[in-house]
Amino acid sequence: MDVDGQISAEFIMLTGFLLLATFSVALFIAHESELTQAMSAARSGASEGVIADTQAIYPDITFSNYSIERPNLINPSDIKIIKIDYLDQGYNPLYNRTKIQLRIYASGPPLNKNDLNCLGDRINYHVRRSICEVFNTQNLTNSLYNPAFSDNYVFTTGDVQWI
Amino acid sequence: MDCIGSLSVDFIFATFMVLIMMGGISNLTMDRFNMVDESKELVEARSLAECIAGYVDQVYAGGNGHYIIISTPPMLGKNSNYHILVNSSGVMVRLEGRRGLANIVPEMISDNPTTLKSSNVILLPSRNYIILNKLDGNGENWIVIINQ
Repeated sequence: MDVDGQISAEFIMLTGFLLLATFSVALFIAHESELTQAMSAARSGASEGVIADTQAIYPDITFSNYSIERPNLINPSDIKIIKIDYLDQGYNPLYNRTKIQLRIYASGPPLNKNDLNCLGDRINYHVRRSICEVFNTQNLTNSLYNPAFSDNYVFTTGDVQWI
Repeated sequence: MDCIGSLSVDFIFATFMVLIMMGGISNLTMDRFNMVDESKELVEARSLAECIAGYVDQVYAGGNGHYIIISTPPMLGKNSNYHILVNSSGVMVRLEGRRGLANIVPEMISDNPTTLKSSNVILLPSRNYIILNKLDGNGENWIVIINQ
């Protein structure tokens, strides 16, 4: 009998089991990695939003509105991101994805609540935009990138908490 | 057995893993680069507006005959066209559909040293301008900005 090129049944079973285990772990890691990437994109977006707020250089329409309604926002201000947190809100059948709410904590200038909300909204907008750009999902959402999508998650943003 | 040019399974597997990881982070890296470019543009715009506002105030405080020569940069950020509008309200920088305002001490601004008529002065990229303090017949100080 020709015995060259034969492998044992145990070896095949072991290899099969290892492949199965590897793919399962790979899928789990990919899922977790996606959330890590999204959080990284959120941090990047938050930084971009903070720079837009602190430098007080706005799109033409926004600038015109602020000149009349919120003159305090025309001047540069000092804003720092304290932390970015997320809340897993479970599977959402509407979007067929797991819903995550991002919550940003920041310290800002002593302005009134409405002005701070405007600054916070800009940070949230950049956070969502950054997530959409990283996962190339701009076509799935609206012009405000709300909500933002990744392959397995849908992201919303809560009001920025000013500390 | 001929083993020249063969690759181990470990190597192929590791290469695949690295390629998959690189694919995953490439978008993130691009997003970071874009963020840096956009931020740089905004910071440069703010810095330029504040710088010119500072010069205008400095010339005003210097009194009659005091002047400063400034050069405007060819662009802001990587490749953003811009212009600056100076009037008695302040120094406004405009770039790519955005604008920001730097405040100045309320003063009269003109682009004509002889007529001293109040006007909006527009500063363009890659030019030299003289910012001059000039006293008019009524004893009032004017800031005159002229292209050199």
